[in-house]
Amino acid sequence: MDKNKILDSIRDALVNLDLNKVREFTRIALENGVDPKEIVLKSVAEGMEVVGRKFEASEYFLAELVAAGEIGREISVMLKPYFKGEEMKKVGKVVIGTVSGDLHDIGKNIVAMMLDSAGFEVIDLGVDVSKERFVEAVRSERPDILGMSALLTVTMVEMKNVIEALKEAGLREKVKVIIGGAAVTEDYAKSIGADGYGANAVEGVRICKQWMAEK
Amino acid sequence: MKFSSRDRVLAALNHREPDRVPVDLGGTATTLHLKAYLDLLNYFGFSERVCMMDVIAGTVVPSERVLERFHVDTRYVYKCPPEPVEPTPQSELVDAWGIRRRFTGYYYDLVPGSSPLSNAKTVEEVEAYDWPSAEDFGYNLEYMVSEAERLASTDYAIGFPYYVVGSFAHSLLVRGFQQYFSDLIMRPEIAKAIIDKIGSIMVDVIHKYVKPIGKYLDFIFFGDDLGTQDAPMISPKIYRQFVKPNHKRIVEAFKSVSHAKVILHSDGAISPLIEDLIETGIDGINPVQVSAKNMDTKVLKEKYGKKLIFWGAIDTQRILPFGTPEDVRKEVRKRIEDLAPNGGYVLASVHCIQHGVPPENIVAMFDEAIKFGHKFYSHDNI
Repeated sequence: MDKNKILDSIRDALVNLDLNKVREFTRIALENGVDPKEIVLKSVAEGMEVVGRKFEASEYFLAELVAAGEIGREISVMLKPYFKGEEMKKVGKVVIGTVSGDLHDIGKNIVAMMLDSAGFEVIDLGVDVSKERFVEAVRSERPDILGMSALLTVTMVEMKNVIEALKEAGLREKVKVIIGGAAVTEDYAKSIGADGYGANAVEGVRICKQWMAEK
Repeated sequence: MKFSSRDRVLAALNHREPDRVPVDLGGTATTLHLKAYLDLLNYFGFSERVCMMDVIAGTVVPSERVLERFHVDTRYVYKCPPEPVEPTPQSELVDAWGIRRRFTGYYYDLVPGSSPLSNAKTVEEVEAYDWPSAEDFGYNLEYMVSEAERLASTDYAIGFPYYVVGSFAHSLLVRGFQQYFSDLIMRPEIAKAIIDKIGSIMVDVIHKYVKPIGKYLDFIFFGDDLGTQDAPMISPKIYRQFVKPNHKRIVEAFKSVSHAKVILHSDGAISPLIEDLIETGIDGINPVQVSAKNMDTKVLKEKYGKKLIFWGAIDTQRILPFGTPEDVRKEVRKRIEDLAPNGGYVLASVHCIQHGVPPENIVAMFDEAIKFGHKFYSHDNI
């Protein structure tokens, strides 16, 4: 069995959203002693990159992104027993949530899934997250990145409140802040002092990866 | 020729230019949020008993007084007598589909994790779900017929509001967004079972509740949100496989019970889907979300102006809430210039006028629509 070939096959099956082939090739790889870390770094991370590019090229849409995330998670489940007690070192740690007063979660969930597939440790606080909970999570989890999502112009203003609360708690410098959501704009992100703005999930994840590479 | 409101709207719907661009306010997707309406009444000094149109969206039925002030050309046959505003909203609502929503200050929002079919694993489980039937949606047929008859004796164009859903968006709601998106790819038999079931229920609604009033209607809305800010939620391929057959049979059902023009309401950036949408038999699209990607009104009119009526187009994401009255007037003029040549345009806000929109801007929108809509079709010095 050619290792690189099987790693490519897993990646391509993920890109083609073929769960059966993903399962089959992953099983073959693991039975033949391929290091699960390589499957994560080569097949899954690369595969999600390609999926992201297809999304940006309007070949893939939300359905495909979500399906890819689901397949990525299925691979994680298959790999878990093969890690032999050593935890996979994570690319970075992200705390993510939808702001107070806002219950919308699909965008946030897609970002969380893609960050997970890209090797991040993701702590998802859910929806309607108060600024106090965001601050507490930054204090106790010490993430590299804080991500906030809001769909509406009325709830978007909460993002500014969270950033102010981080400053008051002396935590602003300890974390990079990225925001996103349908009504959010690059201008708004700049005006409230966010470090980054993701126009869509793919771009948001790319920015997070870049930040970790620069660290 | 002297145009009544009905003449005016019918001309536009048939791609002819009337005396001025017709305007719409008061449809399910073209009305105002309660708070915007209260601000407007305050601005006018009108005192009224306000009635709700859709409790979930927090929208109102505008009064005759407001509709006349704005010279609105349309009137709607609502499904039941509008109820006065509840002083204290309930904290949670469950609708006929079994979907749970929580009051978050302005609207009722979907409670994450509350989709009734999120745990279904087989087609059998989907079919066994306690699906609503046509009678469960609150249609009051007696009221609808008497309203349709009453409106028929007026000069207004008569519309059936967006109540009937196209099936895709409700598949997302009933199954859960994430689940349904991946069903489309990973469990297509479940995706199909859900969407086709919803489509069947809607066809039944049309035969039971639209047929008796069909002969009175000038236009009919149905709705299915297909786009986000930047793109359609699904590819044209998936649209064709799952959604198109349901849109087609819904449009066919409408056309079998009425000569009215059928307008599809779909939010978002939907231009990659428009060719397919036209093939389902629709006559027009609404709201024409101009702030979304690739929804430029000039381009849309050039490409599809002969085949589609455009209904809406006045930006509600940035201009109406955050612009000056002059910005609003400019927006009205721009959209009329882009969409009104050769008829085919009914002016309205892109979806409902939200809370926080200054009353001055609403007034500027409708007054300029009448003024410039008249000037544009007079073809003087344009």
